[in-house]
Amino acid sequence: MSTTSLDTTAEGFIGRIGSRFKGRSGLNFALITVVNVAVFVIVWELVATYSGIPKLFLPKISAIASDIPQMNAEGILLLNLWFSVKNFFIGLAVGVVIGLPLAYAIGSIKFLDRVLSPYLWALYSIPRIILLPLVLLWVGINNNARLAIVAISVLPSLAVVVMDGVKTTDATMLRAARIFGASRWQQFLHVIVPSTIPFIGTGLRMGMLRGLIGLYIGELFITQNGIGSIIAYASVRFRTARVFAVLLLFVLFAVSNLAVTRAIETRLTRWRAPSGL
Amino acid sequence: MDSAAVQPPAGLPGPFAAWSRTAAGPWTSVVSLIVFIVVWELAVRIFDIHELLLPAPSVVGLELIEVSQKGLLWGPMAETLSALAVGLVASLIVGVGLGVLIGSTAFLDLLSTPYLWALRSTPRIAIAPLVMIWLGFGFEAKVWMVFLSAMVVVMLIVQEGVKTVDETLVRVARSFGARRLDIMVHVITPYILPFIASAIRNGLSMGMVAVLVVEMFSAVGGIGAQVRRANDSYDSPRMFAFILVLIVVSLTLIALSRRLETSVSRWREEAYV
Repeated sequence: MSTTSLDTTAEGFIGRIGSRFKGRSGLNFALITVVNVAVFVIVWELVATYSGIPKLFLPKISAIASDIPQMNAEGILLLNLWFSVKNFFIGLAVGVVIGLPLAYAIGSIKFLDRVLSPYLWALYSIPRIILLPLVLLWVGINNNARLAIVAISVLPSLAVVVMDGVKTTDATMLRAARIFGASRWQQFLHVIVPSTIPFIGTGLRMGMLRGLIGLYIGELFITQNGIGSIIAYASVRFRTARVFAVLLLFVLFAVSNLAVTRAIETRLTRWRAPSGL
Repeated sequence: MDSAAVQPPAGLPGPFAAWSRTAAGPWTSVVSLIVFIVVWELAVRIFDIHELLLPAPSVVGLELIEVSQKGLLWGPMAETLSALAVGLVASLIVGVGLGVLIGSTAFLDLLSTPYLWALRSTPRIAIAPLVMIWLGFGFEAKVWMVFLSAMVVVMLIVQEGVKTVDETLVRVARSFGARRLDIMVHVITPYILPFIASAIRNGLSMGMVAVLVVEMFSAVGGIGAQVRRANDSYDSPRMFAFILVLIVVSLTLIALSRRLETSVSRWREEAYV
């Protein structure tokens, strides 16, 4: 399975410029990045101030930044942020609790594989927003609908990867276990489960990315609370600075999310010998 | 963003599947689909489920015919698909270009790292409200939305592909006297073809989400708007009919792009890239 993690340490292949940055780990890289982002911010501010682009389209970055304490003062920031984070993790948990057993069952029982995996693949492939009206119809326009959307976004991504992991369990190990008299259950517990742990890491990362999409869509369409609702309200009132401000927070949340899942994934995959891929 | 996306298995039986004694033939999936529809129909009739909650497949089928006869299906479908197509083509051109540029220039790679992280981790549909503020709900807005969300994916995957080019190959080419352009054409391009195919598939799914978000949010134009309107007027059979069409269309498109991906990456040993 793809451990082609995006952060391979491969340097730029046309090495002449690359060699200069080879030792870019740590402080050096952090410094460059700080300068880089600072320049970006300054350029944005200058362009927004002097280019004459209306602030409806491109608000000044200082206006965006100052809108964050403003929202806090209005009392809408922390509460909605908390709603979103809570919804995300509850939905994620639901997706994992249903998805993992499902993946193991489909991966190890051929009949279930034939019967169920087409639906799982279909769910994985279609844009989940298609199913949004159905969720609204059956669950109602409420918070549970948003949890459901996050869950059905997480579930297939996770399940498909883990299912794949179960199927690609090293047959030699299974045979060895069988020779030593392991029962089916023991084979499952001591061979299959450990060998699929790295897949759980990858599946979680992919599931969480998809789950964020689900969270966001749910909040755009069910606007009772959550940061998506702030965006929806602000965009209807053409308060572009506020949209940007909330997006900024969303990006920060997403990036930290990815960083954490990456770390978990790396940790879970570490014991595997690098496959050279 | 999953360039590392898994593929549906070509031949299902993995080593572990041999466990199951059930002689499941290749037709099991088809049979399971038929059983699914029959159970659905029977359940609706036996338990007398209200049409609003779950219309029977027969009702949905009839509604589908009616909708297409009324001309509510093909026009909006063409609108949705053309927005998708235009946005996707543009995103491929720009995305592949940017990806190759960033992936092959260490300096740009370094500069872009923080922004690429932000783009990679944040769902691209997050900018949908901004695009709607900027451009409204029309065709143009949809094309831009598709372009922006697909372009990011394409760029990220291609950039990753270029970065992972086997350096030995580059060195060999160089020692045989290849210039930069030669390396680009004869080493990099064939190497990243599978990545581009994977980028097309991922861009396609992102683009579909993008166009549907705009349409469903605005309820103006395209299939997404039809779904939204049927939903708002509690016309469940019609909504199911449109959703069914959307599922079939998106599955078909994804299957086609996946086939392209497999055929391009056949020369590689591993399918999982």
